[in-house]
Amino acid sequence: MLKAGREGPTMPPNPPTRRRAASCMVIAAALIAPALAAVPALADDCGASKKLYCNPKTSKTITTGGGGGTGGGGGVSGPVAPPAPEGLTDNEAVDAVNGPGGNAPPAQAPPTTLQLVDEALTTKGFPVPVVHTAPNGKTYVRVRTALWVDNFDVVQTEPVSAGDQTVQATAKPVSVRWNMGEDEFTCKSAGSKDGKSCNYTYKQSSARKPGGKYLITATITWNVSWTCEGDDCDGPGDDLGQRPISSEPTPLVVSEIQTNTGQ
Amino acid sequence: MRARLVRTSTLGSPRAASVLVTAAAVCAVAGCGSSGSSSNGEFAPNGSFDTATAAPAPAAVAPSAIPTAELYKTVLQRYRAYQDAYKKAYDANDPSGLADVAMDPLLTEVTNDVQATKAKGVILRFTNTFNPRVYARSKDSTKVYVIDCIRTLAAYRYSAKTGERLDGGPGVARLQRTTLQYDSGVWKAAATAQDKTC
Repeated sequence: MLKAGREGPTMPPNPPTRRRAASCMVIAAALIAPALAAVPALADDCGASKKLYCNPKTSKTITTGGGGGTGGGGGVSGPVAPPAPEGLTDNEAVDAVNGPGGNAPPAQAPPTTLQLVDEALTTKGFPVPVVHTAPNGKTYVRVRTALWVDNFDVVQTEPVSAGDQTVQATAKPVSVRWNMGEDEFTCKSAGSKDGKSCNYTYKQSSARKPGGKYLITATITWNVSWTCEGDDCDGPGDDLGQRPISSEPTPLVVSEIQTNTGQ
Repeated sequence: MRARLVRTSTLGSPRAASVLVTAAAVCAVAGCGSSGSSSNGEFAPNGSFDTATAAPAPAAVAPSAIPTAELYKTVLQRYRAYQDAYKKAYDANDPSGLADVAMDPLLTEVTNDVQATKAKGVILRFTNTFNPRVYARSKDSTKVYVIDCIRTLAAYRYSAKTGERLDGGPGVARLQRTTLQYDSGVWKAAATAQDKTC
């Protein structure tokens, strides 16, 4: 595996040979990078399923600078690629100066309550609204079209614990925002097939729209709140505000009703 | 020839120039961004912490003129803003917010990855914890290097069409080094390197 740096419990200053070795590794990484970039299995930043870790992989497109080995120039402005952290002293190797904290690498930080809430929400999927209309797929101007969505449901996460705190989040649906292609409005419920609580009457046909149809979307808005139990909680609970989830665009043909007014 | 940091020719008075210099210095310390995103530090219900600090940056002051403690504080705030935008980009399959907090080569790399994820019809949601600190900076202070032990508490892929959870689970922790570069008055994440577990 390509690594531009190394770390460990103790980080002695780099002897020159080690710095050269590290530089060689970085150069090798830069040379091999195009081949690695072609691997489709690593198409997202979380990597393989058994060791999920979500942050970008080592930057691959940095132009290697002459002499420095870590790329991106150097001099007083320093390299673009973050240098190996161990053993840095003033003006050494990467033309950088020490930051605070010495050479010890940071350790994992314990999750805060809100990070646990975030984990709970990450673990529990929010359903995507599914759009329904009546008439289905094709309707007419000046005809009331009933609208409703599936998945207008309360979402409750599983409890997530760390240390002496257990959090749980709950999301309650409050409204559906409908984008009908020619207008937008909000319904306070999921709607139903009879159209009593949510409906729309088109004023214009979809003949002049791309593909001869409107693309309609429904966005369910959930109010999200959380609770926490345990001595480590940063608080007993709170509201997190609203979380909208939109449907896929759904095609709907709207035609003119042809009437025979002749005698 | 050396570029001047603040133009005074169009200001009309020394006092106006002074105001602009002060604003520029405040902006440099605060790490002003170019977007209108908020910086209230509140938890957003879409699963992320809003830690971005942002306001229009009319001019820049040399980062070498900023006191070191303030410089590092600002850079770490901007680093967290970058991590926040990174998470949001995947959560919404929309990389447009990254440009305020990241620059090339990292910006292009992450943007391409988000777009590749979107093209697959999946949404990637994850939760990370952070413990960053500055470990080095360039001599002119235009680049500050941050090291972090990032732990992925959980990561899951969801169907963008149905919202169904496809795969994922708990994650691991790794050391990650990131370069924050001073770019026209704004600190942005420019490059990164992934190391061993921590």
